[in-house]
Amino acid sequence: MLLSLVYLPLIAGIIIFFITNSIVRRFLFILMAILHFMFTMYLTFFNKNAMGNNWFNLDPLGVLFLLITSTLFLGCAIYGLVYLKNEGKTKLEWEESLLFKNIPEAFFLGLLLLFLATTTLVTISRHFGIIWIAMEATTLCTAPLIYFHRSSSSLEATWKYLLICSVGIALAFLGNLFLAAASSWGEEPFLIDNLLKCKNFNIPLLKISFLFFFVGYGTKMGLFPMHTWLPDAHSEAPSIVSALLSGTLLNCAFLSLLRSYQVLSAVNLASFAQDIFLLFGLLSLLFTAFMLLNQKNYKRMLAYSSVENMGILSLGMGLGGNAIFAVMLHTAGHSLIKGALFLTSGHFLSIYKTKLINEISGALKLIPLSAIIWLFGFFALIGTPPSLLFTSKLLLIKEAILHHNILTICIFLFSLGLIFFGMAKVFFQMTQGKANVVLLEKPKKLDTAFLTISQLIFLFIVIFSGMYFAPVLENLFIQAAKVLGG
Amino acid sequence: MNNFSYFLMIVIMLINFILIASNNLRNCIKIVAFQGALNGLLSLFFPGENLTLTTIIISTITFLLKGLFFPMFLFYALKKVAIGKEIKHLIGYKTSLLISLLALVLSFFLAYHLFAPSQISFFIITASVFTTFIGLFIIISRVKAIMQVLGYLVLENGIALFSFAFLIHQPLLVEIGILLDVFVAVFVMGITIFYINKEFDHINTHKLSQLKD
Repeated sequence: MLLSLVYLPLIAGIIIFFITNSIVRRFLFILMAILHFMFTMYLTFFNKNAMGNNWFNLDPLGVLFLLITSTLFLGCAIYGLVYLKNEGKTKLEWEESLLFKNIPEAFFLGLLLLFLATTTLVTISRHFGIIWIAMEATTLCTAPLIYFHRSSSSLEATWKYLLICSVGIALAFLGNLFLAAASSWGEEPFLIDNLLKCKNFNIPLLKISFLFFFVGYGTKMGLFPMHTWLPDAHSEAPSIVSALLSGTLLNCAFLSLLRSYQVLSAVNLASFAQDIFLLFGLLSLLFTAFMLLNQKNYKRMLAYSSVENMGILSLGMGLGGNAIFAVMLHTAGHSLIKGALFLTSGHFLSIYKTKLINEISGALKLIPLSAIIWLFGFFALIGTPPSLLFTSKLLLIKEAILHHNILTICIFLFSLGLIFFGMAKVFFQMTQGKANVVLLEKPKKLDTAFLTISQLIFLFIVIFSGMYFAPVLENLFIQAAKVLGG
Repeated sequence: MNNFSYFLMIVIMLINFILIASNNLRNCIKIVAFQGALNGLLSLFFPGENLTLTTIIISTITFLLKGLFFPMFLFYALKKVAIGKEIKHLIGYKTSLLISLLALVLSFFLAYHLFAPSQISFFIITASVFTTFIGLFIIISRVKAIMQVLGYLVLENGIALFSFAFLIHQPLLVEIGILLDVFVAVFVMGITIFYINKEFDHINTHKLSQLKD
């Protein structure tokens, strides 16, 4: 029954390739997104003792990541309905003013559903082999999606993404093998439950396995210095895909990494992993702080911000203890806000026809609702008080203070300050001032509603839960953190 | 572990040197195919004591995929994009060979530190680490996109060797899933090469530099 979460989108994704009627296609697509979401909600809140076996089961950590994935996918699907309709109309590639043709819609929707199936598989599987297969499959599903606009720059991004991530994931497979070699367990050396019970590990091999996991899944997660594919792919992909990449794919890679952390902490090697997490978290933060200072392309800026937030997650894992709870909060908050911002950036792109920050101004007058989301999203992302990310960042700093880790606090706050400075400039420049583009036709009310409703809901969730955290949700996060020893 | 599998492994290691020294793209595809086929064979000969149905199925699929399908597909891609046969380097032959020699020494050193030399895994670990390293080296030092796909395949071969080292038998389903992923990865990369050629009229990846900060 649990596996139907994977089968349903998988089968629907394959069927969609063959449907010629675009209305039926879109209907099936949105139906799948809703079904997936409802089923996930049911599993999360009503069926605590989820059925499953050794191979596939939902632990609290998996539930949390599944919930984020499903929510974000539903939001993107709603947005996608209108987005695809508008994409069909424009026949000009705005950057190169050449005639271009998008990849066929059937292909696009089908691959999105396959992507949903593979990310779900990552969250529910308890077998390192399956996790690996699913992670590699996410790369393969999303690579053609990045090439949606068929421009030379998106082709370049696709190639980089495909090659760098495939090689990264191949290295993660070495991690799998080292892990199996480290456990002299015999029968099923890849099952997480077996590994957690295993006591006689070969410690050096186990450490090597974590290093390979870190390089492999860290590449997919976009940690510095393995992040090089990320800004290219996120900025060239269509906005729905960017939102999904940033909000779910990076999380899944993080989850895969956490699975191996779980094994390490079961044999008291957590501190070894934490040092690595801490170092690369700080490096990612510091690096993006400088990269964000002078960005010219707003989608690229959002992509770098994703690297930054992945750095914060890594940093939190490095601090350990209560910080792990904060990491869980941050994962959820970042996914939702980044999803909202990327989706809104798609609206900006379709109105202004440029990704360059300097050529955009006066969005508040032109597309007020999207501009307001853009601004509020910025404040929520940066961690202004009612936002959930404020809570998570505060908890992180508190944990660092408890550890007397002065250097970490200094670098963390310094980077956050720089990032605020770099990003604030962009967000205000784009929304304030005189509109430099004239709308050819008045946007339909229904279209505007579809283009903004998911972002509004995402923002509402993040800001509201910063003020009042429902006990059900809180329990979910606490349980998830407990799995990792937080 | 019998003598024949030792022999196979030495051949697999030596193939890496031929690959590094080769200056013809078509030859490179053949060489990598040969290495992949040997890899499939090795999985048959290695376990020796218990030849299960799973092993036979997996090794047959590996053999056909790496030895037959991938080279055919890559030859097709080569014909389709009609590029020159010569390989462009970012690092020359002499330096490349020297680096691969150093890599071999390093692999022995690494394996020596992890396992006692008497253990059977010692030798395979060396072969595996060395092959993996050569795969990575080809990806970074060769210019043409097809060479990078070949590098990825060599990397895969190296990793596959590793799983023989520990006699790690995964369930059939997982093994097939892994092979399917590699298959699709090569397929998607091949298709991307078509598009790169169509868009840029070359497949020299070092010229793909529009996107930067």
